Order: sequence, then C-alpha cells, then structure tokens
Amino acid sequence: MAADTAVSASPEETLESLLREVEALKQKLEEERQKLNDVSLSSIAEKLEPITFPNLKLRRVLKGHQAKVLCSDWCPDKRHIVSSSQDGKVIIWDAFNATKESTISMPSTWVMACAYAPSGTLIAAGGLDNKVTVFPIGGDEEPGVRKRTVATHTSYISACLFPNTDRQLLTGSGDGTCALWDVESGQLLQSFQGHAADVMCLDLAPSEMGDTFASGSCDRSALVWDMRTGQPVQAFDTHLSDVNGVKYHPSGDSILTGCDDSVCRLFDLRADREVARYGKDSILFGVNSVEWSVSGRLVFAGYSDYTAGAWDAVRAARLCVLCGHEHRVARLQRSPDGTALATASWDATIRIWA
Amino acid sequence: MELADVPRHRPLAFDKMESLIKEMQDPETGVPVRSQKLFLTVIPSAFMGYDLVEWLMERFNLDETSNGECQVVGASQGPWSRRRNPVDSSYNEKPRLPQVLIFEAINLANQLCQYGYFFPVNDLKNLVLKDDSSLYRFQSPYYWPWQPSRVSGSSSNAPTLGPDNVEYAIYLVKRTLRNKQRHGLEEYEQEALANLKKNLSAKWDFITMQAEEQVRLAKERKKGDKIVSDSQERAYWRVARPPPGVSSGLEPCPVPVRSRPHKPKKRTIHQLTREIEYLKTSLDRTRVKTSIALDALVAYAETFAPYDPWLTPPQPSNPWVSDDTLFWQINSPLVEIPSEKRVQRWALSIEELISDPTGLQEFTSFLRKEYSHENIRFWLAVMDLRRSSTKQIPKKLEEIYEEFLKPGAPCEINIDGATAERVAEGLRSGSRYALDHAADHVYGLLLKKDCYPRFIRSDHFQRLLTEGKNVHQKKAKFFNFGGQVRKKPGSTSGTSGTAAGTGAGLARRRGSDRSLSGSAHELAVCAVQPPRPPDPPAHSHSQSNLTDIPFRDPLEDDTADVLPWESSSREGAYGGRRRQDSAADSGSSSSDVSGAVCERTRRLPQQSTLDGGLRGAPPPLRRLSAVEPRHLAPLASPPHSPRPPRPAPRPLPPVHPHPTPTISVSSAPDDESADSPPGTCSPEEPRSIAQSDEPSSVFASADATPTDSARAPPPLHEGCSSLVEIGNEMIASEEHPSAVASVVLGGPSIESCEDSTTSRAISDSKESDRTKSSEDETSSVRKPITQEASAIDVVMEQNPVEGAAEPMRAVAPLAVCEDTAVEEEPPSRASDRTASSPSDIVKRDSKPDLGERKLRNDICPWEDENSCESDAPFVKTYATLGYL
Repeated sequence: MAADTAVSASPEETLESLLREVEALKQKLEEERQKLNDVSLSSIAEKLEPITFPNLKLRRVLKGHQAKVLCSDWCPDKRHIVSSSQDGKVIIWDAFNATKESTISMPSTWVMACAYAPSGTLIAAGGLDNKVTVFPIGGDEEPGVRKRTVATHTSYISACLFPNTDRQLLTGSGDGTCALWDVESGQLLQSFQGHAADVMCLDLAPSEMGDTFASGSCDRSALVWDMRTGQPVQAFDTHLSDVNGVKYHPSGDSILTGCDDSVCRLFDLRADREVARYGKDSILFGVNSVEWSVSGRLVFAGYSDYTAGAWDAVRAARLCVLCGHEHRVARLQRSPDGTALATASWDATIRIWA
Repeated sequence: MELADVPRHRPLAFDKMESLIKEMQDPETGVPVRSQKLFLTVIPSAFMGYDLVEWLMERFNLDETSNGECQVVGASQGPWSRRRNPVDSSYNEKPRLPQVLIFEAINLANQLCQYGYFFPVNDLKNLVLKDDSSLYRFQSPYYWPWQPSRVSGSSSNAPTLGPDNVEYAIYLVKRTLRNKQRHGLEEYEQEALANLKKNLSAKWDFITMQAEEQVRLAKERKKGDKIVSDSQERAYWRVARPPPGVSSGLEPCPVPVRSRPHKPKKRTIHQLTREIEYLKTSLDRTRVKTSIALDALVAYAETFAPYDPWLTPPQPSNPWVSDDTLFWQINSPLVEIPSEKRVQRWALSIEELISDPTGLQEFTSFLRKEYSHENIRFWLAVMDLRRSSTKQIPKKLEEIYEEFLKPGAPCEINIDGATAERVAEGLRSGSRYALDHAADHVYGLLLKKDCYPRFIRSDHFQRLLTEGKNVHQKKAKFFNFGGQVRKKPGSTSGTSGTAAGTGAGLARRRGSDRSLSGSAHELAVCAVQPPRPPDPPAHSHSQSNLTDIPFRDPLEDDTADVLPWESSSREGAYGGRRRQDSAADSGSSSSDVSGAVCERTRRLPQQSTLDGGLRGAPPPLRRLSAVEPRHLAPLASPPHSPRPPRPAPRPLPPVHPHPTPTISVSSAPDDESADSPPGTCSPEEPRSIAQSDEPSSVFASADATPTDSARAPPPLHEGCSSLVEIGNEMIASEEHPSAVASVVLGGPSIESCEDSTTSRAISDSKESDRTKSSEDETSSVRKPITQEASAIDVVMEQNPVEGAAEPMRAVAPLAVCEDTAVEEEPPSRASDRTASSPSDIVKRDSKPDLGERKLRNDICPWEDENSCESDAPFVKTYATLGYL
C-alpha cells in the first residue's frame, strides 16, 4: 500500500505523489457524485404545496445571565433548559415558568458548551477551561458539590453531548478533535481525529443505535463519524467558511450544516452530496446554529445579525424571521417534542418561541 | 494583549458588508450623498436614513422572488411596521413588497452601522439607523473594521478586529491637543487615557509625537474635509472603544481564533495515506440518485407533518401557547394509555416504536405474550451494554452471555453460525461493541422484519389504537373538569342511548382485554355497565367465563408459535379476548364502582370512534399490503370483517373445556350493545370468558390468516382467509349483503358441515333482504357489525377445529346470522329468533341491541368517514417510508 512505498521512496517525492493522488481521487469522487445528480430540489419543490407557516411567537424570555449566553440545551422533560454564558455561569431554568432553578459557577469564563443528559439528572459544561465537567442535578445539595471532570482537551471545548446515555460524553474541541469519554471514570474511549481545525459543533445521529455522529469544523468541512471505529465515514466540504452548526435530519438520512458564510446546506448521506442550500443575498452574517422541526420540513437557523430564520426545507424559501434579540443568536434548539424553539443570544437572554 | 488584538480569521460577513458598502457609495447607483442643509449649517457628505433603507430594499428586492410568504416575528413591532412618508409612497407602488423586506433592510442597515461602516452624523451615542431624515455619513475605508493593523507598534500583519492600544492612545492624545470645547474627552476616555499612559509609558514619546504630527497635518486641511474626517475618526473609536455598558458589534469571541496559516500545514505521509484510503472507500460507496434522496426528504416531511407541532397544531394544545401542560401529560414517556396519534406513529417504523418508551414497553409485552421477547430483550441488553460505563462492561457481557447466548441459556436467542462465531470473537475481545453484530442481526432480521410487522398487525396494536382515541377527553376528565367532561360523552350516549352504548361496548371490549390481563379493578369497572335490559342467560355465561379465566392464558400461549399461521391466530386471540371481556363486563355488574361509571363514560366516546378506530388503524396496514401482499389481508379484514364460515359456537356444550359457543355469541352482541346485559353476574360468566378466549384465537386467525396464508397456512385457515378476503372485497365494494352471505355459505362447506350451511344460508338470505332495504342508511353501520359478525364466525369455525361438536355448528351459524340481522334491522329480530331457536342467549342479547344499534347508526357514518380521512395521509406515508 501507500505506506509501504513511502518507506522506499524519498519522503519528498512520496509526499508529492500522494498529494497528487489525493487530488485525483477527489476529482473522481466529485465526478461520481455528479453522475447521480439527476434533479434539483426546485423541481421537486414545484410539485409541493407551500406550507402554512405557524404563527410562531415569542412565549418566554429567560433573563438572568449577566453576559452572553453561548450555549443552551433542552432537558428531555421538555420544559427545563440549561444554558452557559460568557461570565462562567451555568444556569438551569424552568423554561415553562421562565424561572431560574439553580446556578453553577464554572472555573473559567466563556463556557461554550453545555448539555443535558438523557436522564435529566446530569448536566455537562465546559469551555475555555479545556475541560468538560459533569454535575449531578436534582439532588438536595448544590449542584457543584459532586461535580466530576470527565473530558480534557488541549484546547477549548466547543461542543458536548451525551450520546443517548448518561454514561458517556462526546466532546468537540478547539484542538481539532472529537472524543468519546466514559463519564464514570473519565477515561477516553475513542478519539476522533480528522479535522484540520477547530471543531465547532457536534450532533448525534437520531437513530437509537447512535452509531454515528456529525461534526463541523473551522476547516470548512463537516464529517460524519463512525463512533465505534473512530474513523470518518463521510466528508462534505463545499462550505466557504467555518461550519458553526450541524444537525441531523430527523430521519437520520441527511445532515444540515450552518456555515459562517451565512448559508445552510443540506447534505444527503445516501446521495453523498449537497442537495440543498438555504441562503440569500440579503443575509450577510454567519449562521451560528441550525435546527430541524420534527417533520424535517422546517429548517431554523440562528444568525449573527441578531435574527433567527425559518426555512421551508423542501422549497428552500425563507418562511419567517424571528427578531427580538439584541445580539447575535448563538444557539437555537427545538424542544424535544418540537413544541418550542429556544434561542440563546449574546444579549444575555434566552427566548422561547412557539 | 486584549482579545481584540489577537490576529484572527476574518469572517466572510465583512467581505460581504464591504462590497455592499462599496455598492452603496457608487456615485451613479448608490445611495444619494450630498451636502445637507440643517438650519443654517451645511453638513457635508451625508445621506438620509430612509434613502439608505430604500436603496437596500431595492437592492434585495431583486432576489426576493421566492419569498412572498415570509413573515417577521418579533417581540414588539419594530420601526419597519410604520414607514414615513417618502417610503410610504414607494411602498404603495409596490403593493406586494413584503414586510420582511423592510425589516431586513433596516436590520441590515443597523448592523452596518454597528460595525461602523457608516454612522449618524449628529448622534454618536446610539449607533442605530432611523428610517427617517436623520443624517448619516459613510465611514472611510481606512476606518473599517478588520483591517490589517496600521501602526508600527503592532506585531502582526494579520487583520485584527479592532485597532490596538497605541492607535487609541494617539487618538486620545490628539484630542487633548485640540479645542477643549469640541474635542474634549468624555469621562471614560480620560480614564482610558490615564491607563494607557501607564501601560504604554515606554512608547509614550512616540505616541505624543505622532499625535502632534497628525494634529499639525489636520490643520492644513480644508474645513469641510476636516469636519468629515474628524467625525469619521470619532465614529471609528466610538465603535472600536465603546463607552462602558454599550455592547459592540465588534466584541469578539476569544475562540476560535481562526487565524489560519497562509500555507496549509504540511501533512504527514501517514495522514495522506489515510486520506487516500478514505477517498478510495468513498469512491466505492453506493450512492442513490439525488431524486431519490429528495423524494425521501419530501416523503418524510409529509409523513411526520401530523407530528410536527409547528405544522399540525398539537392536541389538545401547545403548552407554550396555552400554558396548559395536558399535552405533556398525555405524551409523557411512559403512559398507561398512549394516545391514538402516538400509537399510529409507532406504525411508521420500528424506530419510531422503539424510541418511544411506551411503545417499547407495549412491544415488549406483546412479544412476551408471544413468548418471543428474548429477541427484544437481547437487543436492549446489547444497547445498554454499549452505553455502559467501562467498568460494568465485563459484568454485563457476562450476564448477556449467560442469559441469551450460552447454549441452553434461559432465553437463548436464535442466531446463525456466522453470527455466533462473531459473537464468540466479540466475547473474547470484551469490547462494549462485542455483541453489536448479533444485535444487528436480531434487530434487522427478527425484530424489524418479523416481530414488528406482526405487532403492527396485531389486535394488541389495534386495541391500543382504539384505546388511544379518547385519551384527550379522558385526561381532561381526570385532570381538569372531573365530572363535566365525563358528561359529554355520556350525554351523547344518553341521547342516542344505545348507539353510544354499542360503541362503548366495542371500545370496552378492547379496553377490557387489558383489564382482564392486568387490573381487576378495570374489569370490575367495565362490568358495571349502566343498567341495560337484564339478560339472565348472559350473566350466567359470563360468570362461567370468569371462572375459566385462568384458561385463557394457556390458550394464548399455545397459539403463540413461530409458525406464520399460528402467529396470525395469536393475533386474533386478542380480539377474542376482548370479546370475552365485554361479555364479562356485561355480566359482572354486581360491583357498582363509581369508577366504573367513569370508565364507562370514558369509553362511550370510543364507541363512536370505534369504527374509525378499527378502520383507522388498518389503513396503514392496507397500504402496506399494497407494498407487500402479505400485509394486505390483515389490514383489510379488521375493519370490514367478512363473514366467513361461521361454525356454531353457541351450541357448544358446557362439557367442552372451552365452551366457546354460547359465550362468544353472547359476548358479541354485548359488544355491539354493551348495555344489554346489566351488571348481574351469573356464575356461568367466568366460563364463558374462557370460551371466548378460544374463539378469540380463532378470530385472530381470521384476521391474521389472510396475511399469513401466503406462507403456508393449514388448509382450514387458508379457506377461512380466502373467504375472509372475498368477504372483505365485497363489503368494501359495497356489494350486496346477499353476496356476502353466499360467501359465508362457502365457508361452512369447506368445513364440511352441510347442515349448518343450509340453515345459515337461509338466515343469511333473510338478512340480506332486510339489509337491502335499509342498506343505504345502515351501510356505514353495517361495516362494523359485519366485522364483528365475521369475527364471531371465525371463532366458531375454530371451535370445531379444537374439537367442538360439529353438529353444534349448524346451530351456531344461525345464531350469528341473527346477530348480524338484528344489528342491521330490528324487524329481522323476530325471524332471527325463530331461526336461532337454539341460542336463547343470542336472542336476548340481540333484542336489547336493536335499539342501541340503531342509535349507533346515527353516529357511526360520520365517524367512519372522518377516521378514514384522517388516516389517509398516515397510510400513505407508512407505505413510502416503512417499506420502500
């Protein structure tokens, strides 16, 4: 194989030939992909009735953070939210009543990732401290008392999530890697190396099996990983800038990415190519976070221009602009049952739309 | 170094903004910029806010073609909702100018202002764009954000978000050198200057020198230019060093730094090899056409639109909108009775079923009843294993091996040799993924292809569907209104008394199944049906049933088998059981629990929906059938039950261990006219239940057999199934009842009981005549009835198989005929009686039923239609998704 030849040939030469081979293969791959590109989304969309978009309205405003809210996550119970902010605070909200339930102080500022465990009894958070700390919540004592450091990276933590279980944690970091950790022991179960720059976002495949996840990175690509082997399975690199958000379609057959070039892209995993783009000229600012509706018909994107937008995923038309935030929308996420959308913003608020 | 000083990657947005600003400044097509006169002073190089907004709208209207329906939602109506005059006129000219365009233009203009691409001439405090005649001025490109740093003091050439402190110091010093009145420093600026002087003391000479030089140069400029450049510089610093408490658009996030090396890192040979390998495997990947992918996307969206709260308003209400959490209560992870919608969702795919805790529970309990739940348990155990803590892995692995894999294990799963080898391999490795292959095998081959379709076709599933019908009302009753809501269903039943009763009866039947299997309390409740015309014989039967209850399970077990046909019969068992239950209900009225009343009322609504429920559930199945012939039969059959051969169950002598006949008959009428037997429980009742159990299994066979008949059903079943299918078709096509009757006739003949056939034929013909006359009215009603009848028939058929006296059959058909006839037309009752002299019970039941049935007719037709309509999309989606 290539590795064998590398030993015999001079390093320079091998490197170049390898690079050439990579380029050739890439081109071939692109050709292969194009061969099956038989219809465009618009031709499909023509047959469809436009949907009547629901009258999404602002329903709750969660105020309590003193600085930019950087991340938020819904509790599986559909009414609690955990959020983390620039000032190092993690707050657990009863979003339904718009009240704070508890506040946790983190050791560093810029807590850029937080997540609820599937059981709703743990939360994880991390950021510039390069660590993810897991806190049990719901007990009598303060959440900080029984915290445990689970994951450690060599750069900041940009994303974390519990992959369908309380016992593992998946993290994405500015060091360009993703990693799977054993929560109990803090042991590294699997490292995922393949991005050439900071990993910005993660999403787990919706399947019960949860064998794959997707990551987006500052290397302008989104990768789909096999959790068991640690190898990337698919790569999509048609982005023009950092991939800030990634989200699996509820069917698990495609992924949606939000890019700093202000466009959301839909990549179908079976067709292995980009099948749709959601963007327009008048949107200049980057997408920070993306989300699907339950049916996969609506796409939501949070932008740096202080707004969030809803798109018809099939017709690729924008349906709605949600405005009200006074700073960039850093994160947006639908509640687990799809009844509400939470937007976390740098204006220090979280807003719930339904 | 401050955050802003860190060299970093420049977001694309800045490129876009800059090119837009350049367009704006185009002398021909840009925003009109001129010297504006304000009172007596002239303000050079300024433009007005609404001009800019106008320009932006023009600019983006061009590509706003597809966006007509876009709306803007905000906490409060922004300025875009009321435009001032100049723009209003243009707005009128373009009537379809969407609101979003105005909003977007203003929002974008605000962003540009925040980033300092232009600034308000008179008010530097608030960097917002007003859509009026306020004046703005473009910033000089020199002062745009994200420029390479311009001062020698700065260390890097990479673009930085903001200026560095040396520049700021120079600027502040400059201001101190000039006219105090016009250029005096704000308080925060004085503080900043003091700080800078401390921090940059080494460079302070350089800084003051620079400042003096710049001031000197500025003095040489023309006055107009000076005003402009001063304002620009000031605006620049207003953006770059905002006063405290003001958020700035330039505020950076410390990460990612994103400053990329100009040359990509040299990749190692190892990395390249890996990439090549990846690319090669990617080349071999099988791909689908884009059209297929897109169709799947569309199909998924259509299938799940009913479950998308933003597309289909949730029932009863969205908690976030109404502040009523009932929706969450109904849809909490584990519920006693899942809503119909939720159950329907399980039919979409096995993933939907398994990802719902309640669905998983129902599925598991269904499989447990079939004695085939080791597969699901194994799969769950493996899923749990792979998500377990590392510490627990060996232990869990061992447990799984002991329970499922070891030869002779208590729940040994059935896997092929190759899988077994991989399992052995995996066990040696001790990895958390050791058993994935086996789990995939079990999931893909057994659970998904076998167990799941059976579950969806099962009566268990149908029952869930029906039960789920009125979950909302029930919950409402429990949680909110107590008695009031209860009244609703009750009142309908009361006004159309029997109609409701019959429906309730059916519903109850389904419910009762559960009650029998599980909670005694429920059973009692069911039993406490409101007073109906007393039916002594029925009581006795029901009582006997009760005593026999223990038998039921064994029966089911027997039926539970891997064989296709057997499985089908198994499915049927539920139906049978239900029947019994209903009988039991009617019989055991002795216990007057208030809860019973509640229960009953709760179920009453179901009755009306019953038809819909039965039918509603099947549609998906039917669809399936289109895809897979196998599925077709079962689906179709439940809604319109054919009247296949009906052996006479009734006549069965009590001697028979499972004396189905009388019981089943009685129960059937009960179901339809649940009310008929009041709560009296006669000793016989228990026995009758047991009997009904048997029939139930038969019933199941009728339903299920068609499906499985394709595989290799025993001749008897096959005959049944074929008959059933024919019957279905006929009914479905609204054919004459007589035709159905003839079909029925065929059934008995197969079983070689001529006697019964003839008698039955007679009764059938009668029935058909009668029905004809009233067919139009009753047609909708008839379907459910016929279905039940058919079920009964099937049951009867089975009895003979199980060793029931064949001669009895002859009688039985008659009885069945009576029932159906009665149901369809009251007048037929008399004739029925005569025909079915042997079955006293039947008569009695049927009598009360008549009234009820009529009432029910009123309700049923709409219900049927409604249910059909609502189900249609559901079906469709299922077909596309589940089986393509």
